[in-house]
Amino acid sequence: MKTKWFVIMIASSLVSVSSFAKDIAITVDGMVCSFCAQGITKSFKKLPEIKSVDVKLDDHFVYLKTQDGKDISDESINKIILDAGFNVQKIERK
Amino acid sequence: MGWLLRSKILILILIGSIANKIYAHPVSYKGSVSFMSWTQPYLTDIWTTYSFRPDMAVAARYMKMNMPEGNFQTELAQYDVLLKRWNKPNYQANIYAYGGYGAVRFNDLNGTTGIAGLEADAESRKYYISGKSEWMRPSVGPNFDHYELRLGVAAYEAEFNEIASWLILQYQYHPSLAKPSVLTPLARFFYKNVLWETGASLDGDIMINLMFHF
Repeated sequence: MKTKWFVIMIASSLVSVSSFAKDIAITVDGMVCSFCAQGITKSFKKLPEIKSVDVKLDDHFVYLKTQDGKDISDESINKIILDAGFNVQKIERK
Repeated sequence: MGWLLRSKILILILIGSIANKIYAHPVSYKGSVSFMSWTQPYLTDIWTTYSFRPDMAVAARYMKMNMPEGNFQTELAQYDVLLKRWNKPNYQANIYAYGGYGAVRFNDLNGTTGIAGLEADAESRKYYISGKSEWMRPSVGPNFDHYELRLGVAAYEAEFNEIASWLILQYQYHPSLAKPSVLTPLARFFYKNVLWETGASLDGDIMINLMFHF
């Protein structure tokens, strides 16, 4: 009985964690010009799983916030950044 | 600064703001359409490009030139390729090549022409340099060669959602045109997906460039 409750509690906590929005910080190389980086925001905003996109040239960062319960794969992020003309250096999830 | 000079600067900025011209790299981000134009009294150059890959684009191009022998116009279909790109934390550098073919009108003569070009640029958030060589060999009228060097410095390091302001010094050499050698200081501004430049050569010829992509 205890084991069953334990499994239920763990499962429910995982469900609740996965239902949160995710903050993703992408370090991008070559992103020095806002005119040239418009493709990044345009492409990410097209995706239904993305709630907001914020570009910071000072830090070389693209910040993504996903919709609640949604995520985006590293492969998708890499492809979008490459298609926009830049390179991903690092992806961090919070 | 005198009111006459201030008025001239204001008029240049206003002209640039409303000009129907656009500019970008020969290849932009995948899926984008770009419109770019460069206008001087003796040279008009208008491009519309579609980047179907991040390193390739097709373009339709119109050029009009005043030569000592007469007026020269051409409409070209063009293929643009990004040969090499360097993406580093604090700068980006690119080399592009393009080639095309199209129709030519020189005074009352009709013909065809091929065109080939090479472009290279490097920019940080503070500095910019670019060079361009272009060669056209028409079946009627004079050959057209065009060489261009640009150096730029940003007035400040603009963030993504701010208007960026640059000072650009441009040197053009095109021996077949009415003015073969031209030095033009330009003010460049861009905001979101629109970029515009205005300036005047040392001879007083106004240059207006406008570019946008969507």
